[in-house]
Amino acid sequence: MNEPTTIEACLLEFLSKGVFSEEIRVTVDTDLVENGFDSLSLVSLLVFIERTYGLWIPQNEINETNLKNIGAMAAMVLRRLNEGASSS
Amino acid sequence: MKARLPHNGCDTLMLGFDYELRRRGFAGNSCQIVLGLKTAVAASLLEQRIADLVRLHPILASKPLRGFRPRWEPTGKKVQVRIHANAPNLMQSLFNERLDIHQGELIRFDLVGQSLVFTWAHALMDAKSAEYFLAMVGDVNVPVPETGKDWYAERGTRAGSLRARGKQAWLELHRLEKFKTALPVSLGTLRPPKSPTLIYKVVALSREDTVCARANASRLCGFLGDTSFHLAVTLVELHELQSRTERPSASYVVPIPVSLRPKGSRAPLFSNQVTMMLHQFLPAEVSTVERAVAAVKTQQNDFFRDNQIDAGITLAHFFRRLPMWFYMRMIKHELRGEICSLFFGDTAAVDSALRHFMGAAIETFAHVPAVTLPPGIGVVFHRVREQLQFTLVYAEGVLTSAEADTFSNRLRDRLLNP
Repeated sequence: MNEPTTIEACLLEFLSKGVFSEEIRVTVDTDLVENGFDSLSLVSLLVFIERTYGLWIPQNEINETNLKNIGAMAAMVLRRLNEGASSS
Repeated sequence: MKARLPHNGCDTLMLGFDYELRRRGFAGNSCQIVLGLKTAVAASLLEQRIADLVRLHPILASKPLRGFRPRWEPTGKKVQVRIHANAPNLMQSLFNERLDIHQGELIRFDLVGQSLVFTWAHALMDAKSAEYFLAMVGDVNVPVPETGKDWYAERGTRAGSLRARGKQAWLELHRLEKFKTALPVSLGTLRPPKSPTLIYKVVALSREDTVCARANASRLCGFLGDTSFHLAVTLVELHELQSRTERPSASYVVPIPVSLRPKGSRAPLFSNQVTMMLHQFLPAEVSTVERAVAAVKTQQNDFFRDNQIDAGITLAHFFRRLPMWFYMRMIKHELRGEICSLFFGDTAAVDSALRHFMGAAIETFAHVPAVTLPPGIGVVFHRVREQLQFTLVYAEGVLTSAEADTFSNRLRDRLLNP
């Protein structure tokens, strides 16, 4: 079962180990773009979400609000997962 | 820091391009940053500052040594700071002047009135490092980054055993093999250069036009879509340029640079921490910006899905011990003599540490990259204080001056009206 905190922890681990340097202490509230998150970081994150949750995030969900920080991103992933579950 | 830094796979690629350019009589794979300053800086102070940095980082005056342990070997050579009176074509001739890299000349500074021209051997560092290095030269308070890991070398060996790395490298070769079904032919091959001279042209958009171009990027490519948009627009214009001037190519192969430094880190400063995603686009895929955007996105997603980034790094890292003549022959082998159709770069916003230089405000900034032959043409985008710029570089004869003007004007117009 996916909980918001589980998704947050999963994204936090990926971003802090695979995208950001140790010099940046990434938390769920860290502003990602302000700290250098760019278009190719975004592609690697989208592919990670696809591998982990079997979910491809559509372009209309990729915006400043949803990518503000890990908390916002995890909420969006959870919503998409729930929408997928209720429609199937 | 360690004086004898090894060459990683990307440093070797940059040395390979340098070898290829020199072999054809060009100056080599040297890039420039040109700063327009509010006030002139004193050459003596600049010389002193550089001498201090060379003592701290002997690699700045090193020569490349090849063989089984390819590395930089310090020479102790003094870095030149030269003063020039402004003259017509001076900037273009400085761009075409060789660095004597095999005698340890990896960087050079030229002062032309209130302009500063910083030239560096691309094998020493990538463009983002060069921005930060220049900030360090211009301000003693800019901290020196920790030496840190060589991310490129680490990823080049991440697959593990020699067998596993060989398998990964083979996958990349297999992918490139498919490019042969629609071989690209670049402008540099269709029109051999008239002289071993590179010409550059910097185009700066106004703040209003930059807002418009960024809005177009966001509309067509989504959030953080600026680079994909710049690439898509450049591909469409390249296809049209080639259709106008010669004939459309069966495909366009373009390397897209990917920075390997973790976000938030500038280390290591001296070595190239960039790999290339080599993409191939068919003419139908670059007939409109919308189609080009779709093709760029699909290929980028596949690159990450299939872990092709690591495959490319492993392959390049494998080849780093080869003699240069053989190395470049291998590089060109897959595309029957071509390297690519156009060099593309997007360094995004200039490093925030580079605001002043030795107390003088920076009024203008431009990246001027070298391009090897083939293809003999390249475009690099960068953003200076919220103003988008691009630099077009081409070998003399690959484009006429009128064609270069038309190409750059159309590129700018398409950024505004895709």
